[in-house]
Amino acid sequence: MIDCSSFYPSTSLADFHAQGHGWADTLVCRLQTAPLPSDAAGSHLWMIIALPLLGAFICGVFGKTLGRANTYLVACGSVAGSFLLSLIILWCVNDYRTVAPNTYGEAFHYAVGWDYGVWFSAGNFRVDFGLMADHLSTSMLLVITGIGFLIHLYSTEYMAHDDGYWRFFAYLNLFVAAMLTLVLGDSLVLLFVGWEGVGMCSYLLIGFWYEDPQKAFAGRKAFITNRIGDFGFLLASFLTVATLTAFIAQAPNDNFSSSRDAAGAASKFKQGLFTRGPLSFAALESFAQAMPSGTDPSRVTLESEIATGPLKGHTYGHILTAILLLFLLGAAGKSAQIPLYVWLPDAMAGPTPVSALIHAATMVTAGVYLFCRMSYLVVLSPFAMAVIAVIGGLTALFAALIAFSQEDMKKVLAYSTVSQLGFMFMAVGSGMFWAAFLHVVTHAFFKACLFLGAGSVMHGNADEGNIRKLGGLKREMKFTWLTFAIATCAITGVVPLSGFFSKDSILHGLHTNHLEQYPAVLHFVWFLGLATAACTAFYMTRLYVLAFEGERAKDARVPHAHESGPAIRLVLGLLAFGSVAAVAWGVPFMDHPSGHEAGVQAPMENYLWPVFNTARQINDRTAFVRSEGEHGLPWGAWGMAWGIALVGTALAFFLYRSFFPARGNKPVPALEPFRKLSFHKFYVDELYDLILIRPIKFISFIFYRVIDAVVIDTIGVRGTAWLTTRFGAMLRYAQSGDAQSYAAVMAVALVAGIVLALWGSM
Amino acid sequence: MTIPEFTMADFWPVIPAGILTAAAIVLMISEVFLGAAASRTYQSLLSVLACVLAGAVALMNMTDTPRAVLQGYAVMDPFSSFLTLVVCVGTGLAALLAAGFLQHRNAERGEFYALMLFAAAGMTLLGLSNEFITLFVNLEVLSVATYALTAWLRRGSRPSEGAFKYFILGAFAAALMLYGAALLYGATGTTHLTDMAAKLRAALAETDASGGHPKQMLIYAGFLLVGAGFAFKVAAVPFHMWTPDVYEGAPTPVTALMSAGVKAAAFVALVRVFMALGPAVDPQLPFIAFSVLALLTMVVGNLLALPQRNVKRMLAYSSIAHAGYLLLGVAALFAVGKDAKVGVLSSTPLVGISGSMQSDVYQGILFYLLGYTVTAIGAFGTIVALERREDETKGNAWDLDRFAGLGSRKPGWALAMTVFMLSLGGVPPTVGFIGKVLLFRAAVDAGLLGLSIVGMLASAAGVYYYLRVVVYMYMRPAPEGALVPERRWTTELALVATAAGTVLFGVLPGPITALLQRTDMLFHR
Amino acid sequence: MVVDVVGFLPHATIHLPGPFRYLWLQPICCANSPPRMSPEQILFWVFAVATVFSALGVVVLKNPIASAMSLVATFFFLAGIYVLLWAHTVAALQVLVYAGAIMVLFLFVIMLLSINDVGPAVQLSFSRLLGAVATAALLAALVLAFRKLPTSDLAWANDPARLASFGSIKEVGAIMYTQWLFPFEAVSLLLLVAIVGAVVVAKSRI
Repeated sequence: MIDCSSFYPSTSLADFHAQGHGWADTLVCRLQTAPLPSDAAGSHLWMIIALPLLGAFICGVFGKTLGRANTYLVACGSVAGSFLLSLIILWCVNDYRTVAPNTYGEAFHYAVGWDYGVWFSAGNFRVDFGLMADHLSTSMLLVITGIGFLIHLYSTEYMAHDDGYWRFFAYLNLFVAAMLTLVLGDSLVLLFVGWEGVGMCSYLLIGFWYEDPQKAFAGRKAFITNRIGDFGFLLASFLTVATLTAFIAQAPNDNFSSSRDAAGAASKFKQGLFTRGPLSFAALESFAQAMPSGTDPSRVTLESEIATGPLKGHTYGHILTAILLLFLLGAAGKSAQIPLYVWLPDAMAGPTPVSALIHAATMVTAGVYLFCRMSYLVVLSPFAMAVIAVIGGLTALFAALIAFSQEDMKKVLAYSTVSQLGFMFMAVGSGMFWAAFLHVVTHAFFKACLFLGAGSVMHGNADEGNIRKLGGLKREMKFTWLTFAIATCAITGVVPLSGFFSKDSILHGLHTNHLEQYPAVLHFVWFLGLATAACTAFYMTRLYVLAFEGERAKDARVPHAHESGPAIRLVLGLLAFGSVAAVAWGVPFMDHPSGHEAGVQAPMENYLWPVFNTARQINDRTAFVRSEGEHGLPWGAWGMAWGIALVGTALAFFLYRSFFPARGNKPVPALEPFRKLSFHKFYVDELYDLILIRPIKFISFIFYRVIDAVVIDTIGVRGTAWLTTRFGAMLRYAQSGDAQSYAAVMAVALVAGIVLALWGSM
Repeated sequence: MTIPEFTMADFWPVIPAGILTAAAIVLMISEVFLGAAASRTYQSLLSVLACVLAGAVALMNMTDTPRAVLQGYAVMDPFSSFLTLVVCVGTGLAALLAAGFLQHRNAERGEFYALMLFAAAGMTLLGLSNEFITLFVNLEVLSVATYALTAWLRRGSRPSEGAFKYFILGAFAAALMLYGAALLYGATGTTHLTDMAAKLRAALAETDASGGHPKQMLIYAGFLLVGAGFAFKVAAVPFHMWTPDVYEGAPTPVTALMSAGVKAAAFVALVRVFMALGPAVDPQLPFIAFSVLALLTMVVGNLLALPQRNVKRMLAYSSIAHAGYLLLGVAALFAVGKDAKVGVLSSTPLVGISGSMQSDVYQGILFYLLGYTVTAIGAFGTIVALERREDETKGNAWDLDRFAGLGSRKPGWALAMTVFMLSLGGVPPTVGFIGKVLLFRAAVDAGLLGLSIVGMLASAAGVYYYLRVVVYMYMRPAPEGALVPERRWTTELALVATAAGTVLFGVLPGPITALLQRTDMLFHR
Repeated sequence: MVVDVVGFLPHATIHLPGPFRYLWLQPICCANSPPRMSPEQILFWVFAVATVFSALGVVVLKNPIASAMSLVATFFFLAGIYVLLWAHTVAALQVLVYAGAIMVLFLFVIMLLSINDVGPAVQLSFSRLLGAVATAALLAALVLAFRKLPTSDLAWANDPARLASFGSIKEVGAIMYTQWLFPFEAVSLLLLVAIVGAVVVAKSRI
């Protein structure tokens, strides 16, 4: 490590160099010294959101008049501007002296933030409009604006023939603004605004070609499925408010004894809660820090019963579990997990850049972001962690199995996304938040590359997306082939690429971590993860082989594919490079900063240390998650993971390169039932139709015919409407237009008042 | 003879009115030099400028310490300063609307804007009057100005008929109020609101030989008559009957000003008078009186609006209904003490109202006034944009059919009108929604659960006739041969400003509520 | 006491003769001393009854000129009541401004326009009946309220200095232009608005 402490007082590079440091050290120290004071950076965070919002406004209102080129410039330029600002924020939060103010407790280091004043308040409940960027938000910022910019760039070519380009770019910019609000918001409320905003943009973009009823329907499906999740989110938020309100009423100062000045910390927390409301993340963090486990008569613990309010009688632990499970419902909606994953594959109806940006790289990771953001709450409930891990594991395997037999390129990638998101949830469930986040970042690169590659393929093949009708693209689309192959290797887990390390750190975590109260769960999930890894290798290789290797299919839509233009190729190249380069985040080579854990860590873990430090401290206290530390690098686990990937890849190569072509592509009878099951997505849509939609339709039919039509419509609505309208009409007769009668009515009212007063004074 | 000392601190609160009056005088003088055909757009803009300046001073006054000024005849407190702000916003927007309206009718003269600004000055002065005679004089300033404005146009019988009714009934109501004030003076020997409360209490405590309270009846009668005068100005049922006729007859920008500014000023004065004097009498009486008024006004206002096809008349009734919601807030101010005997339609025991709750109610009332001002002026502004001179005498200028197909002919106007209708109906994310939330929440906190439920039901019924306009705009085809209305930049600017305000304050109410979160909203000792 | 007019008189201990006692809003009666009336009280009754009747005349008379003249009479009698209230200045202004200047203008206008239309006959309708009943009830309620009022002597009735200056132009002016500055200026605004409004309403076309 370089000692930069003498650099801080002076910011001149030459001075520092003159002190006897090398130029390399000088530069490193310069990069670790914020270019702006914390306040200056924090108070301008809003500009990151405002730029794409302004872009959306300009594109939406003036896009038609401005013309194509100007619209492209505005749309791309606004996101690029946000990207540059995000880089400055990254530079700022790298400095340990950067602090974000915290009304509820001690200031946050390695973060910038600003409270822009009250947003709305009603009595004691108050929400401030505050933004904050720590290492977690900043990485998301870079992913959203960086990959977002590339996808904007890609779209300029992809949407070159669409007349609705201005609408498209307005939505896309609006999406970026909403997503940035989601990650920058420092309270659940602002996060929810972004959450709803991205949902709305996703709906608008899936149904972008709304003339096609199928596509409009897919948009509605996504919207409604997400509404179910949002319901969970809202309930969870309400419960959070109730819990925190009960907590400040009940908790003695001892709860804050982990701080040096317990009474001061308690009063600061209570004061913050009173003046700034209970839904800020800082409030939740202070709350989690003050909430011990076990039984302790002098404090409020997870086992204590809530004494006041609507939740009276339940223990804090149970309520927290309920809150987390409701948040899981919300996250499952947004991040396409069981049981709400069904919308994501249908969402591929939208333009391909949309699939890449929203339904692979950014929006669908919002659920993972939510849990990472609230890692300190997650670690308080081992039951919720177990549920999250199991849901993630099942989703991952299930989606991977469905991906086996899909024939539409984008459908395969969509199920692959669901499966990879499952990996991230597994990591969250095992307490490996940094690994989940590492996978978010690497996945953003290679999945965006894959989707855009698929888009490039469709662009060059007259919108043909069926892999059975492609083939042999290796020769015809050389550049697309190259980037697609790199990204496939990355997601499969070939060693020097980013996907290997991110996926392996998750599997490694599942293997070494145990939930103290549910010892077998993570082991089970680990097996699911291993199986999924093998499946991933298989279906990705199948996709690659069928589309790019072999001969061109006879029933192809066009005889020869053409390679895409420079913008698409540039973006593909950059993303493929990113899929390789992101490995730098994942290779474990750094020392643990505090030295109390053995072994080495990946840069991502190191980088996110300040964010997840609270969760780690809480876990040290509660010991809900136990980690078997390993010394040195996990060569054995790596070997196994690589082996699994190789087996899957080899099997797919063998099957689709030699076995099936040799049999004339005839299906194998023994495997046919399985293929059918997988191809029909395990009949989940049909199952939902049977057990949910039809009964609901039936009940609603009954309601509609009997209760609605007869009772409510005829008697209730029409009756009430008739009655009120009649009554209104009757009152109208009094409105004769005769001023004298008006005065008479006033006089009568006065007499009535006098009578009232007489009666009142008797 | 002692000459009281006046310092600058005494004059700050009346400076906005001074600016408005000065601008009005400039407008009248400049009119003399203009020919009949001269362009008069500057008059509208000058009015707007005066409103902006006055509003800025009012905003500055918001943060000043509440105190009695000008020998106690006026007060300076956030309550009146915020009213001044609301009035300036309303008058400025109405002046913008008036430019297009009057040019279209070839009736633009400096006197129109001058009268508007005089009315605005009267409103701001009414809000800060702290003495009955002053209050009455200022009420008359705004009344006389609006009487004259109502009769501005010379087409058909409607304007003069409306103005005449307004004048006759207004004079009647003013006489009632003056008589009531005289009775209260008779009982106490003072007209200052600040002194009156204590003297009222003393007068009520007097007993005669038979053990009765001789002055009680006198005082109650005074209260009732003063209340009736205010009820007329705020158009509370059953003192509302002039409203539709007058609102329909008046030039639409004036209607906008009346529905927003006049009502706001009257509400502020009403709260000031009754909060100063109410505690002196049995709080139960004002509580019951305002509860009954609120109940009648909310229900009857909405019911009357239901069958209306004439949008301008519908908005007139809707303004009655909105006065009802505000009266609910006023009633909440008097829900005092656990021993309250009866709450009209109140299903929970009255929990009593603490200082902070009272400030919640003030906040709710003021926020609602601002929100209603912006929204109502926008809604009337859309009518201004749509109505044509030729239709006026036929009497169908404001029929719902005028709105048919607007969504495709003028999408911007239709969108703005949709925003206003949603806001009037109290649908998020508009300022109307936030206003209703603040007001109803405060009322529920004060224990007026039953009344609040009735209010919510009534406002739900109101959504029906608001949305009917939206349905006509988007789902009915434009009638054959419908003329596309002319565009005026001033009108459109006002529409954009009001629509943006309606949404912006609905999404970000924070700055306003922060401004209003003061416990010492009202100066009364 | 605004209504208890007698209470303001310096010699309020005088009693009424028999038939009048029931007309009193507040009977002052003692069994052992016969009711007497001071000259002020006699004057008050003259002015009060005359004011009411001449005011009724304004409403009831059909000839506009007669109506206007009746209004002049009302103003005169009202001025008399002001005198009894020691409001000399107001009384003088009442006669000069209202009965003199304004009413002359009224008559001028009426004669110039030669309005001799007697207007439509008053028809009885439900709303009018209702209004009449309600007004009567209001009056009854107010009478009831006034009847309960006690009498009290004016506190400064025997203070010669106060009596000498009260209601004089000097004192009215001093108070009006110092303490009452704000309402006074508001009235000036009201007058301005009224002038502009009247001109606007009276113009034949804008």
